[in-house]
Amino acid sequence: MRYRVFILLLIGFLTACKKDDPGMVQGPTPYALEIPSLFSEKLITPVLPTNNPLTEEGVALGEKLFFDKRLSLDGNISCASCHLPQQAFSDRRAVSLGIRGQEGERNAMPIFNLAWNYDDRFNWDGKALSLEAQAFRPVTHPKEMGNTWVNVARTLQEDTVYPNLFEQAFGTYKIDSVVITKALAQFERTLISAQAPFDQFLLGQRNLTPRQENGLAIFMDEDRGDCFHCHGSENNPLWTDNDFHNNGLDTDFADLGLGAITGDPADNGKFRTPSLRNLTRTAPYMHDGRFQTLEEVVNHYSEGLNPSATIDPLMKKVNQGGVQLTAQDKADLIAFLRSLSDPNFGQGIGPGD
Amino acid sequence: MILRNLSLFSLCLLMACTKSEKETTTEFELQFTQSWNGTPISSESLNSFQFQNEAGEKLSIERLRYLLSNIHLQLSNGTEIPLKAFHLVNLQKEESLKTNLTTFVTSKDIEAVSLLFGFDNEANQDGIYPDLNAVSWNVPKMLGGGYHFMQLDGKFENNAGELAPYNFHAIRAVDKSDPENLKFEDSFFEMEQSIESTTSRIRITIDMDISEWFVNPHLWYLESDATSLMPNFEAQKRIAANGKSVFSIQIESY
Repeated sequence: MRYRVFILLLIGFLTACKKDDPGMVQGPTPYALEIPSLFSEKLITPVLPTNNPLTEEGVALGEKLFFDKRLSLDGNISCASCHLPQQAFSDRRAVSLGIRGQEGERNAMPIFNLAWNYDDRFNWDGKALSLEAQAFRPVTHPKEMGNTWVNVARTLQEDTVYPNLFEQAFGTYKIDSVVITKALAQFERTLISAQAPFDQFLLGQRNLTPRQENGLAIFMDEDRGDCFHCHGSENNPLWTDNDFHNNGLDTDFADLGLGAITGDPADNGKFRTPSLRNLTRTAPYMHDGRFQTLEEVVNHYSEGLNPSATIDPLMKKVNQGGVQLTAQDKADLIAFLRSLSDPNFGQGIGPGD
Repeated sequence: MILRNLSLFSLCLLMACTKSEKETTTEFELQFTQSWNGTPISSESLNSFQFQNEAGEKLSIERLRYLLSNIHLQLSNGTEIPLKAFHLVNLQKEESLKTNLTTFVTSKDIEAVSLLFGFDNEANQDGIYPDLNAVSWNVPKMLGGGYHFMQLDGKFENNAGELAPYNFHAIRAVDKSDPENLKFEDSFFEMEQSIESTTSRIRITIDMDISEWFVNPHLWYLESDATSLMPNFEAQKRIAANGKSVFSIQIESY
């Protein structure tokens, strides 16, 4: 008799837990990340943390937060103020402006393909050890948003819409820095750029011009550009190794970069390799935005290298000033680099879209 | 009573399975160590001018990555059991310096472990390994494509007393004097070490004596050959020749 009661209870319990029960609370909808064929063919799977899986609700909430100026103390700065969609989520300034028009410390990095940063180190100096951690800092940085997380959470909590959105995305009405940064990170992981003319060339959909072909050859030639060691190749369509290098910008460092984070003098002057995608929209260049044009960048590697104790050995012709490209080679290299820019990236993202 | 008997039977079954599995598997711990003339080095040894090659040149090491492949066991019955297709060692990444593997053979049947430095030509296909693509380990197509075998980078004191970079990169040797008709010469090489063990846990330590890259049989002058070695056919052949005395393998039970 006791067994019969037990079995009946068990059946009742299992039936109550059936998924299609309309009374059961449904979680957020998993987000289907569309991975470009070049990425799925050439790269390992993106970094998608199990404690922050992509969901439709989380990504949409992250997008809304990304453009919300109420994250800043004076209500004038959103993430998108310095990471503009039309600029591949960077901006046109050497260093961005924060609240009260204050200049920041470094050039705003563009935002795309960040889920493929396998070491999960973000910012120019690698300080942020996850995308969630990266989203944490600007809100309270006095030169960026200048706010407090308590204040941000209170502001959003008092909003008529946000609490429900957080509940739908994370199952909680309570808003805090953890769920805010999780949502922002989810949104950022969906920003994928893989529709550049060079991608179309790799997919057999178009040809390169003779100048672009020569530019690619210079890029891949260890005797000339030798760009591939740090910036990848057609087999690494991220066009960055996401590693840290001193590329010979300075002999003395006003900004220690990675060295300030690790405390190791051997890391002084090292910064994360930026992707070469979307260069036509991410000027100015380098961590301090010192170069306004691609011509200036190429000139730097050609004849403008500065020696230092930590310069990367891959800057192999530092004692001659650089790789000494001809004017024609420089122009062709830039023609190739421009083919890595995706004209449509960033469109359709933002409020109202 | 029936339940008790059932439990005892299950327990016996589980014990039998455990024992049987232990008898038919061997666990391997592969360690990848690095040294300079017998002195162990680690990531903490990077970036300082504490090394001197046989030619008398002082040098630092700033980056060391190398690829070992086709790691397999040779059994006494003549068969080969693969352990791992390839392994990329990066001195700056602690997790790459050790790997644990299990194989379903008893140690008494194992005669030797073999592996390659680099990829053989069949494995060295362009762009086919996503995890190697993701760390930019590729070789440009103009040099035949495929993958690096080693990147050893650093600086040395040149004859002018300046610090000069070196990029001691190993790839499949290629003669590109006619770009339309590349000519290759194999530069991967095999290593082998016999195993005499009856225990189920074996540690294989594969040490790279970095100093050996610069001597035996070819005394290496960084002053002459420091950079752009990938397209240098003769340099690649000399690197491969020098590599034959670089590695040593130790086997121990643990």
